[in-house]
Amino acid sequence: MIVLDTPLLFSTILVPFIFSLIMPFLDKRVSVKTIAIISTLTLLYSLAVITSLILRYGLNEGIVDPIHFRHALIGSLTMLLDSLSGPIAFSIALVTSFVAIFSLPYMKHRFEEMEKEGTHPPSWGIYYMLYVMFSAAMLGTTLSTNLIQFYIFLELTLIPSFLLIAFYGYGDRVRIAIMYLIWTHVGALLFLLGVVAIGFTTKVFDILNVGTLKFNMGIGEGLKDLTIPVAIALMIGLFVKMAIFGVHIWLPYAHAEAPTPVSALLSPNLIGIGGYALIRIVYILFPNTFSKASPYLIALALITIIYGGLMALAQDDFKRLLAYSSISQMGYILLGIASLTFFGIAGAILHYVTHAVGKAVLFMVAGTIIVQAHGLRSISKMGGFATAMPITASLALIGFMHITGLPPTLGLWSEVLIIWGAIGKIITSSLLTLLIFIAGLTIGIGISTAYAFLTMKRIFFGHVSEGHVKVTEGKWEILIPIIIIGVVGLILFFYPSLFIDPFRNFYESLRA
Amino acid sequence: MMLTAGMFLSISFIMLAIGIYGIVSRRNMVRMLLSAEVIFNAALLTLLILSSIPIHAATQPDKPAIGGAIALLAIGIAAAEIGVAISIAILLFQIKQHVDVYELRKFRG
Amino acid sequence: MIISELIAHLTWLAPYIGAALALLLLKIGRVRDYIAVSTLFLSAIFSTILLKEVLESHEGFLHYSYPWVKTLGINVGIYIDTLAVFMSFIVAWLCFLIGFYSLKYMEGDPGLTRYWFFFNFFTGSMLLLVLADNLILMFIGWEGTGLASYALIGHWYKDEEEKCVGDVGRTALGTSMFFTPSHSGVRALIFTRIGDVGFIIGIITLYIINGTLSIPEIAKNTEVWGEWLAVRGLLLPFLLLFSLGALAKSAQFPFHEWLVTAMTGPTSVSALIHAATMVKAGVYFMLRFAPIFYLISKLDGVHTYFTIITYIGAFTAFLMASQAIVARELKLVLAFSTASQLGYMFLGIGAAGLLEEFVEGFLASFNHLMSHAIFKASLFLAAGGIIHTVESKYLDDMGGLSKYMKVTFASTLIAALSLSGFPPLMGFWTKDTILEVVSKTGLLIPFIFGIITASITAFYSMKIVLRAFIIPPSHNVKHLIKEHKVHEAHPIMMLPYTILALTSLIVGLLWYFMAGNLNKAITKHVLGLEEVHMKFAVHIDPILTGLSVSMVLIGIGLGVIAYTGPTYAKFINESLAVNPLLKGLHNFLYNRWYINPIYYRVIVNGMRWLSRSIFKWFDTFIIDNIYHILIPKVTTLTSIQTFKVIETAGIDRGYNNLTVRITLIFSNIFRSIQTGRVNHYILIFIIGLALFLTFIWLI
Repeated sequence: MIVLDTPLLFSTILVPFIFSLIMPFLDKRVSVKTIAIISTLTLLYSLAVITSLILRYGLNEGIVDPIHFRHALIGSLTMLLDSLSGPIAFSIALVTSFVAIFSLPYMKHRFEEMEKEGTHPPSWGIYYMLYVMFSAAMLGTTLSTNLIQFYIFLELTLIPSFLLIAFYGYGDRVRIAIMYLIWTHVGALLFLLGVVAIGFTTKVFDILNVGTLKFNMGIGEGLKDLTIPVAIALMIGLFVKMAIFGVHIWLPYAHAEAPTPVSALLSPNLIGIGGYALIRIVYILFPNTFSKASPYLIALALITIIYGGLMALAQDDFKRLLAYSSISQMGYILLGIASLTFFGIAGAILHYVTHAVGKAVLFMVAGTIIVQAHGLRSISKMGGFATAMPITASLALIGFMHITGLPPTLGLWSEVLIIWGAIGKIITSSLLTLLIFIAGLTIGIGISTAYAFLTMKRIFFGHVSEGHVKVTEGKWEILIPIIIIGVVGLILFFYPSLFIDPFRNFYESLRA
Repeated sequence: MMLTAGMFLSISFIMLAIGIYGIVSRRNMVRMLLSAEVIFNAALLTLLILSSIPIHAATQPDKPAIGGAIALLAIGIAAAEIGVAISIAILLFQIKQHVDVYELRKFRG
Repeated sequence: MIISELIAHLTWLAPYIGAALALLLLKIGRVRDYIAVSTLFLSAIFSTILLKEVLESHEGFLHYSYPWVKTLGINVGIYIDTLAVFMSFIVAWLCFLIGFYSLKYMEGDPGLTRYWFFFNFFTGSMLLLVLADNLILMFIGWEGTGLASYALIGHWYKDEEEKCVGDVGRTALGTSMFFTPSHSGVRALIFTRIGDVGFIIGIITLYIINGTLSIPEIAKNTEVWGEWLAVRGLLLPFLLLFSLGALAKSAQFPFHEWLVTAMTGPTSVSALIHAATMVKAGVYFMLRFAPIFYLISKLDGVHTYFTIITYIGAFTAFLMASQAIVARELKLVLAFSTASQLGYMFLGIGAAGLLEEFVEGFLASFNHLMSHAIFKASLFLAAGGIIHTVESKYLDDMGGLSKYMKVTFASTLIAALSLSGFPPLMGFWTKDTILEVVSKTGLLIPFIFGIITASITAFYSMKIVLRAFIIPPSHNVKHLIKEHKVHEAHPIMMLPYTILALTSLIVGLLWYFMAGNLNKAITKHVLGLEEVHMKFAVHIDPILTGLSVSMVLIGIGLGVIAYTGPTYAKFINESLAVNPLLKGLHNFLYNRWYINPIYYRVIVNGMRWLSRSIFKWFDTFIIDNIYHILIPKVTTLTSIQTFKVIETAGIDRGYNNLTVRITLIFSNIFRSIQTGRVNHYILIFIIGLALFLTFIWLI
């Protein structure tokens, strides 16, 4: 492992966090644009640090911060950027910084809307404070090396997002925000139960042993009778966060009714962290139990893929459709993880990046339509927008290409790798299992393609009849963040080895 | 018949009982004071009886008569104390025109 | 060496660069178009150079590779054996010619940047697919063509009525048979994507067994992986699954529907993608892999596989040809024809796997691929010109154009005759070899299908020529003639299809002499194809040839009678209107054997119903309610009950009432001692004192 000289990784979290705290005070004193610029710059700082670390050192060995806080009971807290957390941290930093720029025109529209309704939402300063805190906390979960540290950051993501939905959301926002809070908190609590059980039995909360810079593999197995219940508690807690089938129902509400920039953060970034934690925490600490659970998880993943896609087909609200699509994509990530092969897990991580890029683009497109068409979210009222909004249409196409896995987007690599891993795992089982799996996978991919391109058609193509809403193209300030994120996805198609190659090392070390 | 100490003690006990009965059941303050005096005398008698019983060295013929000395002291103090009590009663009568303790319950100042 | 490697890579890279340039130059209209077409031209030139190089080289192949993703073993590599080089030669030149045609045909279209971007993107992907040396790269090219096809089919996304396929408002079995461009694009994508899942699973399986994605290495290792799969009884499923992508891409039954509605795209797109190149990708797949499969044909399942392919090909050929008989739109006839001819190609390669001499079928299929690409592209391009002139897509609105569009007429006639298999045109030779190969397999049904389809093919080819050119002008044409709008197509448009028609004619004439060398060159080095020691010269089996030629003549004759003989034409039209059997048959064929409606009713509506009902009943009613209504209700109820019973009644009362009352009772008792009377106080004092003294005395 490479130990840095300065605690750069801590700074990626501290800097935004500290700046976020001064936001509310800046409210009346400086213009909104300045606040937006400051927020974006702090988040861009994190992005710059992470990208430069990735490019300079590569993710092969893993990069650790020099300082760590030691506590007798909790353990050592430090920050780690390796082949597992690198892509995730990169995506989070990328999406959060550019969605911050996107927030400016969008929230301007939202504030106007809310003023017309008669509610007076809390000010811009608060919005950006919560936003930056949320982003920093997500980054913190990814870089954590200690279970308690992870849990703290996880809960830290909860409060700002809850408040953002409650203050600025749509529909019955307070109730939905509370629903979101309770659901994810229950999930986090289950997770905490597991964590505490581990900690008190094995006396170790660290995932990464700071002294030897090696992972504490398999310590969960030492729990004997408690191993399976604890592993299940951890998994179910993370499944709630990931919105896997069965515990998914909070997601359509929360992601659809949240203000769109927040949806663009929640959907791509936050729920994927559950998947990341499955590998980082559950697999590392419980390798054997996880292997035994693998077939069930694959089945669950397939069900989630198909179910999410099927539900997406039935939606009329564009944002809800995207929310159900996220559930389906989380199924793909789970499928990759559950296969427990190099390809599958690499595919899952890559799919996190793909989905972060693709879903962020799509939610921002939805936001653009909302802004340009004054709150329009119902697909049946849309149609033929491509003539008036060609750039938005192309961006939507890029977004959909990402999540269905068409080249030249990164989505091709992630989808191929996930299927690779899954088949690799299944091919040794009986013919019947193989056929059922292939049938399920075909249906899942078919449905994914269907809802993606049917939606594309319904919104952008076809006649522009009189009944449909008239729109104009979005302004540059709303389009540029989307373009940048989309382009990153396209660039990564040509350069996937950036994320795939280092993972080989990591995977080998896990198997050893 | 032998004159045991017990007989004398029982006399003083009877006096005590009479006194207690009086103090508890009389309405008139002067009668209560009289009963208090009776109780005092009972106590004095008990003291003298007990001091004259040849039990301990203190009651030997050639030893000083502690009991009697204390009794004399007590009579003197009691006299003074009764004087004060009767003065209070007289003053109270001058104010209230009666010395019924059942009525005398509220004092101010 | 570097130069040749560069040229080789540029063959597929140049069109991509052209695509990117088209995007960048979107403001400068004509320059953008010319640059796009010139990259196509470069690509064609390079492919010619490659052809020369490969044929001259000793081993017969070139292999260049550049590392890309190390850990997955995926390189940007191209493996150019003679099959690949001939294929890329055809593809590149056709793409260029059609691109050249588009310069004029698409003039004035508002979405030209998009058009050129996807056109070039498609060409690059197609070439990548053909030249790739590893399976994932091939898959990337494959998916790329799918994407470009989606975008180009749906090019006119505004869904204007005249751009759609089918008659307005027509339904069959309750589903609409009127397809808009945007809808057709989605159909194409979904149909092919389903096949692609099988493809990728096949790729992964091969990787897992072989540890490599490189096609040459997998070919070398065939015995090993074939054995591995056969032992587990997985060989046949694997082969079918792997070929699923090819079947879907080449519009074979049951995936044929997308090709029909793909006609909503511009005609140049139809020519490029749906006649000349993309649909050939599936055939190319078969040509690339069938030799490899043939190596293990002794294993269980391979024979069945090839038989299945043969039957699918034969049936598709017949199915689609039958639908072409009644089609009313010019492009639709050509679309059905394409699928039908693709069926022939599959028939050829499938039969090859059942023969002693695999090479015969292989060559038959590949030759037909070449000849079909040429004459079908010619037909489509000419059709574009005709439709443009007549301003209608319907054959009913054409007629009598032979006077005004002489060159187009000649070109179309040659190409149509080639399609019918009229000697000595190229189409005749290639179709004949396929029929010969099929007859050698001894399978009766495919052979019968093949023969009958040849006749039907001749029939509908004549239909096109006659109805567009020969028969008296329709009202529409008469009207246009009056306005002086009927004239020959622009030279830029005319040149490509005339060249192609002439090629078909000339190569056909020379076939007997050059075919031997051509075939030898093609099979010089093909992966998996073992050294062939047969003579390549063309030989004509008199019986078979006689049979096929007579079928062709019957078809042509029937066509001529049906469309030009006035009395017969009227007779047919009347009986169609009256006779229920004929009417039913007509509807059956016109509605494409009701296959599309069946798909829609079962799959699309089924999915929609499934998704809506599960959403309504399961997600909303059950899950949503359980979590968000049931659980809160239960919790509220429990909390209220607990509150009432335990908290309020028990604890609250216990602490707050009972304790208070007990305390009050005690305090009342004690209060009663305070009487205010001195006497009582003295009594209590004395009692207390007595007790105390007793207590002391006791201790």
